[in-house]
Amino acid sequence: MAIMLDGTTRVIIQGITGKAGSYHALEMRRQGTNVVAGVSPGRGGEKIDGIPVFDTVQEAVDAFRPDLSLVLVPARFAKDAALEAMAAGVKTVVVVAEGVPVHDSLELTAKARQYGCRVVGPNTPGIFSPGKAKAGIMPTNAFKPGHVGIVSRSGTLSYETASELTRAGLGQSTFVGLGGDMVRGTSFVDVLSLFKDDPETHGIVLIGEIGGYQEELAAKYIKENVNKPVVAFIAGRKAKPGRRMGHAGALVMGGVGTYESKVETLKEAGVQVADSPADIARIMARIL
Amino acid sequence: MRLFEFEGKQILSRYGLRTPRGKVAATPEEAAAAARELGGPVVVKSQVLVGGRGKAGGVKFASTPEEAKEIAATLLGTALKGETIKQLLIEEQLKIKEEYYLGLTIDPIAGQPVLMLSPEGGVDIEEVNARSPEKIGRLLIDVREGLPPYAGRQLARRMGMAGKILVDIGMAAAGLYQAFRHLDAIIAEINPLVVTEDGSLIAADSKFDLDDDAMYRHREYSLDGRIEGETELEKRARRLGIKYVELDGNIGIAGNGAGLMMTTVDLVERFGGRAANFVEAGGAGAQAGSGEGAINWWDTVIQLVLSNPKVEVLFFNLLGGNHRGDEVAQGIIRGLKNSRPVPAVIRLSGTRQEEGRAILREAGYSSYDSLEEAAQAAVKLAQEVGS
Repeated sequence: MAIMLDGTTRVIIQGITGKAGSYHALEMRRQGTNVVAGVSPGRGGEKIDGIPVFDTVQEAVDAFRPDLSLVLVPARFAKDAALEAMAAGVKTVVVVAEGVPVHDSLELTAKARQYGCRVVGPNTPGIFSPGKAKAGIMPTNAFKPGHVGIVSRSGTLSYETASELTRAGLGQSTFVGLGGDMVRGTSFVDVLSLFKDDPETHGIVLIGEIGGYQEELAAKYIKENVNKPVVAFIAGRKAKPGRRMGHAGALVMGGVGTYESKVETLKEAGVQVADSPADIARIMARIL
Repeated sequence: MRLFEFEGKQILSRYGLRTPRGKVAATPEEAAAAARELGGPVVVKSQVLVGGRGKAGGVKFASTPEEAKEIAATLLGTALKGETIKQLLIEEQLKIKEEYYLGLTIDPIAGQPVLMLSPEGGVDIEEVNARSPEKIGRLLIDVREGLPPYAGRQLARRMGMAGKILVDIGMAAAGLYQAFRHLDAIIAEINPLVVTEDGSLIAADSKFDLDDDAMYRHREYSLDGRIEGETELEKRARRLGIKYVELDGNIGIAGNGAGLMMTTVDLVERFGGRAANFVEAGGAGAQAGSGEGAINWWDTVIQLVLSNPKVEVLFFNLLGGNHRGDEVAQGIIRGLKNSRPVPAVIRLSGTRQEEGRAILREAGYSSYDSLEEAAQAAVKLAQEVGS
């Protein structure tokens, strides 16, 4: 088991003929992913290292009934590509692009609710169940199979954390990147609700950031529903109010979303809060 | 990206809302001419992007064109909360009976736009929210349905409004929503939305904040000169698509990933150092491709960080997925050569880390694998340089 993605998940890649698309298609296959097809409008009939390319998602769906689409197209085309996947009946859509206009994300998430589709992202490295399958762009050498689930708003910070966990001898069950944008398809609570029932996940790492109140909602959910140990880290302790610290979502305004409020709420919910990525691994190693 | 009040009002009137008659003036003479043309008493409003303009003395009343000219002369060219006043909006004075607040923003948890309406207009809405949140009516909007006038009327009814204003509020909310969607706004506010003595509903102010990621769809607006307190360096970085944040210490931080950069700043401060700035260049750097393009990219990034004279130590932190360690290492070396020699602490991990570290070693730079160790080393260096 793992959550959201394993070796049996049928995966397509939208934008597979692009430089990133073809590179990650092969990387993903090397990690065990069942990449059944790719989609690139105007390039139907081609093959990327044996993977068939279709012009439309519908054709890929008719031929392979994929469970998940990894959208690897530039930000300004991401909405259209993701909507195409949803309309064709794909139930999980992972949007990697950084810089997707927030109004596009509003439409995406509204349509996803209508279609009963899970959108992960935008601005996410994707999903990775080490040893089983990868649907994303994260570097694989930081990860190894094991029993720690990671859910994060930040890509690089989760690689950092994974490599510290790996160094401490703690592998990972699944890593899910939520993305750093203001509006996103999947929340901490969505992922926590899957990790809590996953027998292969023994402990959970939650990597948050300043801004918004997602972490506070996660804390409430953990307090009421999660019996597994959770270790959290919040980036942006030294951030200035009113300034976007790199991520669109990382913005402290009017006292909402401060480092202190997040840490306090998480601690109240019984979550251990780490001071650095290395500290996450030290705490998790003590618990598990 | 924030819009000036007069730009926002132009948008509002395009979407069917009534705004006061007015003209933009850049000189005292233009202010006088505008007042003469409008006839009667006017308001002189500084066109700045900072909040709290009224309290800071940026809005004044004039009963004659001469007075408008005098006021304009005292305002133009002066700084309001650090922002220079370059333009004024000269408007007719309204005879105000009631003041409302009408706004649209994005609720990040619901992932939906939210319409807000309050009978307590004309004051800071965050203040109203803190004092009496029940005075703000909220309505989540399904973007597939949009915001028809009836939904605005329903919200107004819920807030206890009655009479002709219901019709006007419904139309105003629907128009504001159209503008909000078409312009990719993150915030669209009218505060106050006033009812005048003759019963008209008029947008007496406007505040629009547009999504920077969507500006390619709105080329009529440029970011230049608008960003509050933006330094020359921040402007250069923005044009390159680099996320650059200036702080006040002496350690310059560069690398990839917003979360990782924030954490690097946090760690430096935890070990007793202070960051001078940080640059998140990974996202934009992905467009630079590989080979010479990538090397030049990191060269540019290093130069950008070091062009801040406060930087005495460079702390480069990259955990590469897409970025290749060997190319990044060459870029760092080139950047240090092309700007100025400062002591550097380099943490390089991820794709092709061994090749990258070998290149750095050959050029006389040591590198780290552990972020904590690197942060400690950077702080130690910064303390030595500073003492």
